[in-house]
Amino acid sequence: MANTSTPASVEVLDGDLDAPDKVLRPHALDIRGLWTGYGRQQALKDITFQVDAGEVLGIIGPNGSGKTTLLKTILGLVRPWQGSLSVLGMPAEEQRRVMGYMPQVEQVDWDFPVTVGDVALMGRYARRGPLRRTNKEDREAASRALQQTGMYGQRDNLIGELSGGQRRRALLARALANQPQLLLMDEPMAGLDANAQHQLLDLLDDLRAGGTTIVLSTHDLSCVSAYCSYAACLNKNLIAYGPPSQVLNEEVLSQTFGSHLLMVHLDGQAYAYQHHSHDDGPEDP
Amino acid sequence: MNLLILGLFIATLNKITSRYLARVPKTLTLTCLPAAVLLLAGCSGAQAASVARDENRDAILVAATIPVLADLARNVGGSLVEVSSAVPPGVDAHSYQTTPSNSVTISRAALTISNGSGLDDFLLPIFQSARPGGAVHVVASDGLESQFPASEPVISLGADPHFWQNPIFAIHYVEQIRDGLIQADPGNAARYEKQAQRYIASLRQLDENIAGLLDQVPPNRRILVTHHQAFSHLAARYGWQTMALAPGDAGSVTPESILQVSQKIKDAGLSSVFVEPRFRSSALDQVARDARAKVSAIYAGLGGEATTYVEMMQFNARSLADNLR
Amino acid sequence: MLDTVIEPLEFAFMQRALLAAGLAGLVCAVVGIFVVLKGMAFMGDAVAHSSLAGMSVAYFFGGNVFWGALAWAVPASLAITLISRRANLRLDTAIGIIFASGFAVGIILMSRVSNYTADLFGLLFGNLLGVSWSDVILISVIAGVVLLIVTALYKELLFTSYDSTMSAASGIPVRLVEYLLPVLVGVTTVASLKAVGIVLVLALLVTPAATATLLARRLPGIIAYSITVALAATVAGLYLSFYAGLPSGPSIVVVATGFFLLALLFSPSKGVLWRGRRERLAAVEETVG
Repeated sequence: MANTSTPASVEVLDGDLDAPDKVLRPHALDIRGLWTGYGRQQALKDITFQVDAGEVLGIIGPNGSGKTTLLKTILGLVRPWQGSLSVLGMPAEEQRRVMGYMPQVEQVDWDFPVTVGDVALMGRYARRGPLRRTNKEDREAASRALQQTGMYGQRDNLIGELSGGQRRRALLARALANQPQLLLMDEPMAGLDANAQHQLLDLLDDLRAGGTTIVLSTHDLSCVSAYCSYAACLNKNLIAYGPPSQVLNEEVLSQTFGSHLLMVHLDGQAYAYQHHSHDDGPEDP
Repeated sequence: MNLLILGLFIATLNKITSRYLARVPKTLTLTCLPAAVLLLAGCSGAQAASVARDENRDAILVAATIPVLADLARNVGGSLVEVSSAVPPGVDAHSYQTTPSNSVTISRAALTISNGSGLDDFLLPIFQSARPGGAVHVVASDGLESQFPASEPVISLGADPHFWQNPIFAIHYVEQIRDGLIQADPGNAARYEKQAQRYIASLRQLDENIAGLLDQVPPNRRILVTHHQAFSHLAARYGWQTMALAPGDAGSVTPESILQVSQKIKDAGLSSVFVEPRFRSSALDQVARDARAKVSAIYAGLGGEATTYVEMMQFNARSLADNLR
Repeated sequence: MLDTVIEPLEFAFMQRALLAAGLAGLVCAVVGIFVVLKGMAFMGDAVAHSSLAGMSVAYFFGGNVFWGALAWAVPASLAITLISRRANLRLDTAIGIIFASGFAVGIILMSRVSNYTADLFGLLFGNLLGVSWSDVILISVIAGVVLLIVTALYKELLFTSYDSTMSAASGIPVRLVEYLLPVLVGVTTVASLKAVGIVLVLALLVTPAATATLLARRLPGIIAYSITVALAATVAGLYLSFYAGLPSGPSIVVVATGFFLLALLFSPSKGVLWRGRRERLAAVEETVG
């Protein structure tokens, strides 16, 4: 296990856990003793961490380390074997309506005959429930989400006609249309050029300023150290958790990524890249 | 009444679909509307379309399910009737798909004739659907089925609906048709009686001719082997045995039936098996080849050389006599 | 001209045939869109074929084969989904099992029950000209129920078809929808059996919807085109059948296929003819530029 920074040492409300009356605000995300997997195949082992509202958590880990599984478990798509998940003080399964999810682009059928506007509006479907049609409020929320992501001009385009970056933004617009308090993003940076990455990160900054809690999975360590207030190093179990400056050191990273790693030292900080990383080089912390 | 139901129905349909297509209701309503108008227009004229008598020829229209019934009706009705058959001659009734022109013909008939006993049940919905209210319907085999208690294990005579293969039963058909014609066209009752009487006499003559031909076959070879069991009444009438590869009619040839039939051909030293020319049976071909027997023609219904009932029966008797003698 | 249009409608059997086929076409057109988008075509075919077993049982007891088919289709649809989920088999494998087994049971039963193949042919190819008013009512009730369900759950069906993971994440009862859609497909095929029979029902389910995807870009447009094509093919097919003396069910299918081929050739966005021209234009631009 990690020794530099255990979850407890960065726990803001440490010590108050057994006395809820002292807690001013519930954690945006509170995971305790989570074990899960598919069938008999274990994917996550004893995960415990908390994220406060308005923070950005970056989950890093190699392929197959359980990043997507963790996100899907929070969303209720994968059932936990053991442990508890709560979102804004309520069990996660009751809080789906306040969560937004942006899946990996590869998981979406891009040939489906829907427009960008339709996709954004889908973000509102769960709110309306069966038998009810989407109303003006929903359409306005979808339009706002499209404007936020810069996709409003393409709202009448079929999703199949979009470029890679636009597809990501369309998916993000769908997640935002529901005005989520907890936004979960699976590999949002993958395949984006530097310019598009900056646009996306600016948008995330705005959301965060508005009080949205963001959890994203990524391969990109520089992104985590530059933008995230928390980093979780995952490889089946939680190797380290805390502010990036404390967590992203050589020992943790080599434990997380094993040998598939290229270490770079800059200003006393360690940066690690996986072999297949698309990055040009490290950025200033 | 029809009109009202239809109108309501289309209105509801429109409502449902236009609600479903909230964003393109115009297009949809536009597509539904012409159909609705057409249907409503049709309803108003619906009741007018029952013509029982062909005005030009002064003949009543008779619609039969299969050609053999049509031929019998033609012989009873003569020039007083205009007869048609839903299934054309020489076409496999089993897989025949009716067309609207069949239904149009039926809708103008004063008399409709079916065989019954399961043979043409599949055409009954078509007939029921198209038949005008006042038309008379005759089931030609009515009264025959009950003569045969279902006793035989493989195929009972009562289960073979091709009763006309026995000329005596064909006479029963003719009497049924005659009664139907009289009911549909009472004014000409006497002429129907007379024509039926004359035709029945010729059928009795046919019966004697067949018996004479079949007697030429030595008694131990009086076995008719076919693909499906359509000749049990022919066989029963003249003291023959029959054997079919497929006892029923649903094409269910079983390994057991192939064995039994092959054995029979060898044991009796049969020189021929019989099959309807249009409905070749590859299974029977194979059985015959293995037993060194030939495959000869026989007709269960009209088609090919069998253009009338009488011709068919004579052809069959000659074929049996010539090929098994 | 007008006489040509009116004459067939003077016959009650043609009115019933038009209504029955039109209703079947309408509900197939709508449900067929999801079938085409989700690649479920053989699901519909399998349910239709396996329904022969239910129809044979109903036939045996002298009941309406319609109810037999329906009583078989619903569990068969559920079984396909259940087998593929529980046994971890691919969906087409589960479909193959249900397809063949139901059909085999049906043929065995029919060969025991009926001594006439014609009855089997009636079930296989439909009996549109023999439709009764009570059949029309039955078809309209089924069509109405299916369309109501699709209307009520339009959002859910759309979202789940497009992205079932995401719709599950946003709290849509995906499991329910994933079991419901095959049942809707099954019930729809049963409603269409009277019109076109077991063998051709797939065409009614797939062809109008496929034609529509060539003509429209977005789902609402696709639905409108699918319905239009289905109704037009029904009416035109029946008129063709009336005037050319052709069997009715197959005529409808042939006309629908004709529409599909026209769309394939002339569709503005996906038409084969325009594509050739577009490519030539692009090539010219490239050489010039």
